[in-house]
Amino acid sequence: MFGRWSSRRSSAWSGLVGMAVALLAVVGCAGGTPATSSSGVLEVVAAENFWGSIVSQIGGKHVHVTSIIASPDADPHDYEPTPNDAKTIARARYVVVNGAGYDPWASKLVDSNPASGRQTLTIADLFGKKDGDNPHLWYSPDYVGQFIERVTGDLKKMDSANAADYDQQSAQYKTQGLKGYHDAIAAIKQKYSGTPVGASESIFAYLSPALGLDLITPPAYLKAVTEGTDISPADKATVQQQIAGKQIKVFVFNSQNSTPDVQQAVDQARAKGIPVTQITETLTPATATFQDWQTKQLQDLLGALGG
Amino acid sequence: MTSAASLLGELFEFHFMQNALLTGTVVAVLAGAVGYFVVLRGQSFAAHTLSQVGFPGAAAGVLVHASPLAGLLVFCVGAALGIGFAGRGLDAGRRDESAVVGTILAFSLGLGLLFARLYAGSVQGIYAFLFGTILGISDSATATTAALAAVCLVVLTAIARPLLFASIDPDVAQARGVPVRALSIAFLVLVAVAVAQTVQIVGTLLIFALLIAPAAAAQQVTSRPWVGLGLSVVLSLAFTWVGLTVAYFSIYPVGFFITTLAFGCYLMLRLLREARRRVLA
Amino acid sequence: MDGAAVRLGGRTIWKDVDLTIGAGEYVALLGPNGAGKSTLLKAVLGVQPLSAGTVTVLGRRVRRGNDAIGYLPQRRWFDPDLRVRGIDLVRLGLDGSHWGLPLRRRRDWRRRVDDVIDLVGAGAYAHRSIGELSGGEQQRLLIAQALVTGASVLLLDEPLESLDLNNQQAISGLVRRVCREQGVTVLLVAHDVNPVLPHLDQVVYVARTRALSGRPADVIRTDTLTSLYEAPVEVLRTSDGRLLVVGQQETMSFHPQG
Repeated sequence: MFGRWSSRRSSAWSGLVGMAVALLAVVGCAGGTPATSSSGVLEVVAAENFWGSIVSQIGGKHVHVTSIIASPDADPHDYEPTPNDAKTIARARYVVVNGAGYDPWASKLVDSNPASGRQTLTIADLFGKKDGDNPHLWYSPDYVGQFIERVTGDLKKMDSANAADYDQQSAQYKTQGLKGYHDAIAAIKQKYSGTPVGASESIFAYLSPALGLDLITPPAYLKAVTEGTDISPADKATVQQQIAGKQIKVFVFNSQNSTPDVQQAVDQARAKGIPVTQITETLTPATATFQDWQTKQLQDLLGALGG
Repeated sequence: MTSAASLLGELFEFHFMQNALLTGTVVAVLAGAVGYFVVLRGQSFAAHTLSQVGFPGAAAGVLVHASPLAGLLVFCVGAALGIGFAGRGLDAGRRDESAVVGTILAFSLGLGLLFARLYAGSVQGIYAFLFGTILGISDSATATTAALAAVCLVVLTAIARPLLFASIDPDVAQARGVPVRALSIAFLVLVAVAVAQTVQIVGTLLIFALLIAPAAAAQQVTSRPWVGLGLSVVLSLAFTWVGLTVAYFSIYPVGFFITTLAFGCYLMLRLLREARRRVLA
Repeated sequence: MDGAAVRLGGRTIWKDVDLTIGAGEYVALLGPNGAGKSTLLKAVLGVQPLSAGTVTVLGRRVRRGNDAIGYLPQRRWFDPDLRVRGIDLVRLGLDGSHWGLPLRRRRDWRRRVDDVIDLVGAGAYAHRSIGELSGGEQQRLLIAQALVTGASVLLLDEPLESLDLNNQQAISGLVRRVCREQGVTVLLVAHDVNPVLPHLDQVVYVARTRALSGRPADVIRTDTLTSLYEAPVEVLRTSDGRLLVVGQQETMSFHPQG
């Protein structure tokens, strides 16, 4: 029996070694995947649909944008990428990733399939945001503006033949596409600057300064809810006090990240007659454009503040 | 014939798939081999706990400005030593070991909560570090995984016979000169290192599918130790390759296919064995 | 053993033990519970260090992992779900303590395993999972495991415990056969001397930190045991020839089986 075991073991080992050699041979031959743009359309992949929406409006008919997180049910934090996602990224010419620890799987997919000619834009790097900073960069109008500039520049470099189109589409987007968005922001800032408000998580923290609103919810509370960690009893008490004492005019909550604690705060606010508005993390509905989605949310907020 | 060749060609078309298959193979062999002894010794709970202590370990590593990998390894090995020393080596997998393991698990989860609080950065980053995806393995990760797996397998081969002896017959093994307790601790450390490294690569889900299910399935089929070990490795490889291939041509994540295959196979073999036993009885 | 003593946890288990066992002898180790019979066995095995005195086996100091000594521990049970065959267990007795990969194919080891399994008469079920076998069947395989290294000394710790009468007779017959035919020295710890009494060459009686050795007729006597126990002890012989030791508070280990 021992002799048989040895031969079985060694034949198993040699089988494995053979397989490994075969694999290495294929790997050696295949090498990296060249990123080609067929039929003149630039393949773009955005990790999240809100960034994808902006890029597709800047790029127009010269780009084909695929967003990986495209459904309101998908959570970018713990998304499990499928082989299709990996293929899409491998074939893309331009990849847009949020960064700052928001979508680490996306960077991993980029790294596992190096492709010559492919460019990756990690948005957090543009603004020096690192893992641990608030990653919800698309809620900052200023960052959105800078993003548009950067994308326009990148598209022009990659596809210089259509540079003029990109410039024109970008300018149009900024002045017309985003008009409602900027108008709503201006309206809130003009009428309600300095108003104290509360929020359920840090997603709102980039938007409130742009609107001139004073977000008084404790930052630790916001961070804890965003990351799904425990909220300290002290912070919970503070938020309850703020609601009970009607220290906030409006409570803004992220309906895609609603824990029992958040739900409790929402219920309490409503009971106290404090208006509650809803914002979401990704495009809602999934087919909306970035500006329509954001503008609607801003208008709801304006209404809640008092119109 | 051509369709099989073209299928293979498609499978290997992308670099991420090549890395996935290569690393998947390495991890599958390691998990299948180590897992055989984990299941034999009834230490699945301990193995699971060793992966859970990874989070506070990585967080601790970052807190002291060391690398999260260093923190991960230190905590995993520390937990392995704790389980090994607190339990009595001769009673691997028995009740008092379960109690110790449960306590260590609770403690590490609590530590994790503390570190999440202290850590100014995003815990998502640590989760991302810890829970890799098989489709996102870079070339350097492939190389390091292969190197580490080779080391682990060499160690396992060296201790295989005494470990088998100590696992099923500790009293006599002890009398025959096998250092049963030291071996128990060494084995737990080996599992800790293997789990710590591979969890970053393929995520917790896959590590458990590959560590436990193939070994459990193999032990339904045979009671010959070395055949069982070999079968465990073969099954582990089969689940990984078939799972990856099927997932590649579908729209669903890889983990689902591999774990379903693994569990389904175990269930089927178990039912077959039960049926055979009833028929023969 | 010469002037041997063992202290465990501050308590002297036994001391001033002098005994000599010749090659091929069949010796029973008797005494009440807790007297230190298993400890004495372990001292011969080399896993229990002595606090005083020496013990030598086959002319050499004891050490762990001695291939010449086969050992059957007390109360060994195997999980019924354990998926390992009896023959594998016996094989581990031969090379389970060897590290690394086997350097060369050992066909003669394969034959040795088969031979010893035939010796104990376990050939019919050696290929089944050990957890599925009955107590008697397991015990035969474990004896095979103890002998597979070609041991010339066999130490058995209560091998007949938890076996029914038939199996007790079968196993004790097997041990006697191994002793006589293979020339193996047997040291067997027993609760009840009666199943093995007819075959014994020597008896070692351990009680109250002392050990007495000699022929059964000399040791198992009222006067000898009374002086050993330092309390009144009577040795009775039943009508069918069995020995019965009766005494007071000290847990009397002899009782008729059945």
